[in-house]
Amino acid sequence: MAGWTGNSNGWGTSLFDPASVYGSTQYQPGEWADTGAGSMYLNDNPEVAWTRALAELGIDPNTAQGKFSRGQWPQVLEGYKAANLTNPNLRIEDYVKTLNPNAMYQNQTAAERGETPQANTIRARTIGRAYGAA
Amino acid sequence: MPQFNQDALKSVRNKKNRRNSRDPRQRNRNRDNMPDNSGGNGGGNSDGGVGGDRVTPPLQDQPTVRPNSAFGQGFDPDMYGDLKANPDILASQWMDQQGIDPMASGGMAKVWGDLSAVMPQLFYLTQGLGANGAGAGDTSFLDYAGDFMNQYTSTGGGAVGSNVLQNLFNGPDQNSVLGQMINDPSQDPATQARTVLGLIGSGLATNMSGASGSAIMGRAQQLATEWMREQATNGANTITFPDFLKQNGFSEQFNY
Repeated sequence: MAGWTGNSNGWGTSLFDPASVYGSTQYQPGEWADTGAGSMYLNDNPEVAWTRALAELGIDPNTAQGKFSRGQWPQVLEGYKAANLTNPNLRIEDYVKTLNPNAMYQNQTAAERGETPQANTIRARTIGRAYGAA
Repeated sequence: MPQFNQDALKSVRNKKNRRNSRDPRQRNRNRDNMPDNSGGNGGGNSDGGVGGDRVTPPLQDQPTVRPNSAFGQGFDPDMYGDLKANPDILASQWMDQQGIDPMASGGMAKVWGDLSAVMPQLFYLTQGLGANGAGAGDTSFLDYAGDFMNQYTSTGGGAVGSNVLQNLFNGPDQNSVLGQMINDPSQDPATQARTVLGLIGSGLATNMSGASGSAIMGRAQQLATEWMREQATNGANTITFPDFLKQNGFSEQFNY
């Protein structure tokens, strides 16, 4: 079983808050996700496991890292399917726990992450000319 | 335009509605109006008649033992057989007791459906191994169903052992319910194959990812076609379908 913590560090909650009970009076956060029925639900909706894993790490879906990580889902699913061929009993919720979304993000250059930091900066040539003119 | 006797039509319609009703009170009302042809088995239980086209087992075949669990005891004995055939009613009752609205969550609704659909087969796979089908009665099924739902909705619980399918290939007692189910020469090969495929599908559904389960089921269905072809050419019942699966190495993937 995955062992969903239901913990939240206050970040990453704009889409899903792992610490919220969402109005439930019967189940604590993470409790239901750790049941057999919850596991079957994740089997039907595997992308949900990735959303929960990212949220528990405090990766907000609306930040640059969050957008990058959410964009990794096709690769994550592919990785899971490959791993599933090694262990047919491997569940998606257990697989996503083996990944390190922070490292996946940090190991990329800005351009590889799809970011364009230079878009809003002054061209170096322009700066040089300005200083030269002075 | 022909004139119908509206009262007679209404009477027939009411009788039909009562006969088809899931409400045991309605059905009892219907049976109470029917002649008692139970062969003198009346007394102590009003369920002695045969009502219309509904087949009611003779009184001596009705379960006389109440289920052990509080969940199981919540049902009318007259409904035991029906509940085994319609386990979704049990799942619905369990959810009602837990205060879960099955209509409130679309995604979970499928899970409830999947769980209730596999309940009877898992019951046979896990408990139907006793001699003479011990543990496979209608009443114990109700106990199993409540326990099954409790397990599947408990934190950290609910995984059916991946070796549950070993029971299928492990040569269950021929007198057990499971043994009779998987080796019934009176059934045509297609029906026999369908029964075994249903058991395999249920065994996989709750403990394996969808992709792996589908791949295994695909192979099982392929072998079912081959087995049926062999039955057609070599004569029926030369080899049982589970034995054929074993012969082709299918059962090895379940650590058997």
